[in-house]
Amino acid sequence: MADIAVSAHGLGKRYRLGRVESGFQQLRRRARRRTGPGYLWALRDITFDVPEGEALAIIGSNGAGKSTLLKLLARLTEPTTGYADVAGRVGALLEVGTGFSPELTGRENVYLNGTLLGMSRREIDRRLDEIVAFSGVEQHLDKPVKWYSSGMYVRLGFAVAAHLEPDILIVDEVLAVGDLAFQQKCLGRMGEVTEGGRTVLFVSHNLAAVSALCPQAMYLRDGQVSARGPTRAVIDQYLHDVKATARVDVRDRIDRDGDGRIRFTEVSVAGGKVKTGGECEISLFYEGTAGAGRVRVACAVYGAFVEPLFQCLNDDSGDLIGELGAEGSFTCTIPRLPLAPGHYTLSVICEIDGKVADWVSHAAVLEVVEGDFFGTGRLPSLAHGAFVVDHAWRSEPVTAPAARLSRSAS
Amino acid sequence: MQAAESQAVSPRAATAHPKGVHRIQPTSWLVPVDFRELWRYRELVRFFVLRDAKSRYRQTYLGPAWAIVRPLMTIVIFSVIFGNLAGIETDTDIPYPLWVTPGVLAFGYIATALSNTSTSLVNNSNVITKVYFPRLYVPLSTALTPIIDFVLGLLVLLGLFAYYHRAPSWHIIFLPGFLGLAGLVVVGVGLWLSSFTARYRDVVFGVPFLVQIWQYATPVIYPVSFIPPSYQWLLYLNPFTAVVNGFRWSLLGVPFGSPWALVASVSIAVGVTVTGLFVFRRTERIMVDLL
Repeated sequence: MADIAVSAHGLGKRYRLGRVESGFQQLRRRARRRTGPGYLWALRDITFDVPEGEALAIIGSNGAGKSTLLKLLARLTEPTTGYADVAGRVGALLEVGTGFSPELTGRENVYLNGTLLGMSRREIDRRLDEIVAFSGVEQHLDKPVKWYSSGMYVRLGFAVAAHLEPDILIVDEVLAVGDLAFQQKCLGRMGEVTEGGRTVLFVSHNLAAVSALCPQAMYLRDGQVSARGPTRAVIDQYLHDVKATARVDVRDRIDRDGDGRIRFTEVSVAGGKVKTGGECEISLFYEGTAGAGRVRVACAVYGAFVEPLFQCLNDDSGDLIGELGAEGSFTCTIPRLPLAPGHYTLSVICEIDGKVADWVSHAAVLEVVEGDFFGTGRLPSLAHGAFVVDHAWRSEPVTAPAARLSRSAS
Repeated sequence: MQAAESQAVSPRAATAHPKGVHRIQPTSWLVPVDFRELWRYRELVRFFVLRDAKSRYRQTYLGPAWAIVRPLMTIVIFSVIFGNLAGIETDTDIPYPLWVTPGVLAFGYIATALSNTSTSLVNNSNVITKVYFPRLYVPLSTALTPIIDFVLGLLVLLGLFAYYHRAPSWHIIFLPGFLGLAGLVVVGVGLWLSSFTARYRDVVFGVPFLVQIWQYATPVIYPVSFIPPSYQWLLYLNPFTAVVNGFRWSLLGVPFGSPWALVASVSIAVGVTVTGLFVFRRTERIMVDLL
């Protein structure tokens, strides 16, 4: 019998809406005989089991209750209803380098952070060399971390987390920090953890990471479990649900990269959905303080299984951009969209003077419907793969037709 | 129906799991202190104190010398105003500056610890909202950190002993006990105040006044005999009276006064701390939603 690592039964969490009222506000409200601020169920009747050794991804749009569920399982707050049984030690990574203090040295911060995450002093002593080697900050270990670059800081924080050995590991989008190479390293390390037979709960917007790491997924929608099963099927349903909202607000996405000189606010696809072979117009709205610079803006397209398909980059198309407003938009036009019907995701990235300003992965979903790509008046036959490409056929017989051939042989 | 369901499920959860099963559920009104968990996380106290001590005097020129300058200035001001101008009688042959110092050091610790402790949860919200650990260690370690300042402040006392050619009393061996009593009261009151601060930030504004009033209600600048005998019992209800008297008794060897002050102080300290623990544990469950 496979042991159950996490078993939730009817978990619910209710929040009171609005801020704490001041005494004066309360008096005024009572005088007007109004009722108090309402309540919001962030989670409702969540029931699920996670067998030991399973890596379960939790996906869902912003506000679907993913973070609340994580907070409950990490014991940060209490459920309002229901309960969850958790077997063994839980390690929750809701942030990289929790509790790091700028005045403490790298070494002291490793101990502080490790202790906060539930490691004993002896465990940290034993793993210190590994942690330091993983982080690559050996030479600065005894300097206060206020002298660290942000990259070093994050690497050290993740190194501690990566060497935590809980029975159940809960990870919130912490992987969405650092440079790409470091992200790869982290993903690799998480893969090792799951292969080691530990239970992992992973919340992320990064569908590529989710499908690479977690064979199983759970999809939360409006505080309830909407789907639970093999990751591909669950991602498919998720993409189906979030499909083609005319404009996707990405302001609240925290799992982004870049220095923030500009920030994408919305991503929209003209007309909501696009026909195969139709004109596709993708607009990226931003606000920021960048002013002028050499701007490289790209929109990368991923398939239903989050495999990268292609990207549109202004540098490649020769459309140079040198000036930015405090607010504005970039619009990318693909005259004849070569994608087969289905759901695709769009990641958007903007680089100014060679440094990433903002990067939101899987910011929006592109829904493609059947269309007359070839202009033949007919719809293309069922697609093989993601692309429909312009092509032509030619037939050139080199020798005489078969019928004559057989006659000459006789 | 919900109840029936959980009845049916709980036996499985109750069976012994090799790693131990923890149940996450809405807790009842009274949450006892989990001492085993506290023991497991004991290292936290060390690192919290280290962190707070290291960041206390950052970006200052004098650095830890402030731990000496501050009580020294207070002693000078008190000696000039209350010792000379107001001419407060201390009932001993000890010069006023030396007489007032134990109280100044004691209350210096109390004031710093009390105001830091009351805001400790809010100040540590970045950690509290991100990881679970026994939150009790936040106010506890915050109350411990100013002891470093207190020990440095004892240098002022040593200087005054040398200046007046006097020596501390042998009672000094009891000093840690009175410091512990001060700490216990501070932790107890701090637990109450920090729990309130999580809900209502008003406390942040109120605490400086509380500390100031409390200092005048404690025989720091005046002896107990300064108050008419029929009202002295009021003074003894203040748990810090025994602390300040105890500091004077152990450092200067002056009479302690009524032993009932100590009985009252210890009882109040224990009472405030025990009730504070429950209030704190109750807030702890939902702290993250408040911060």
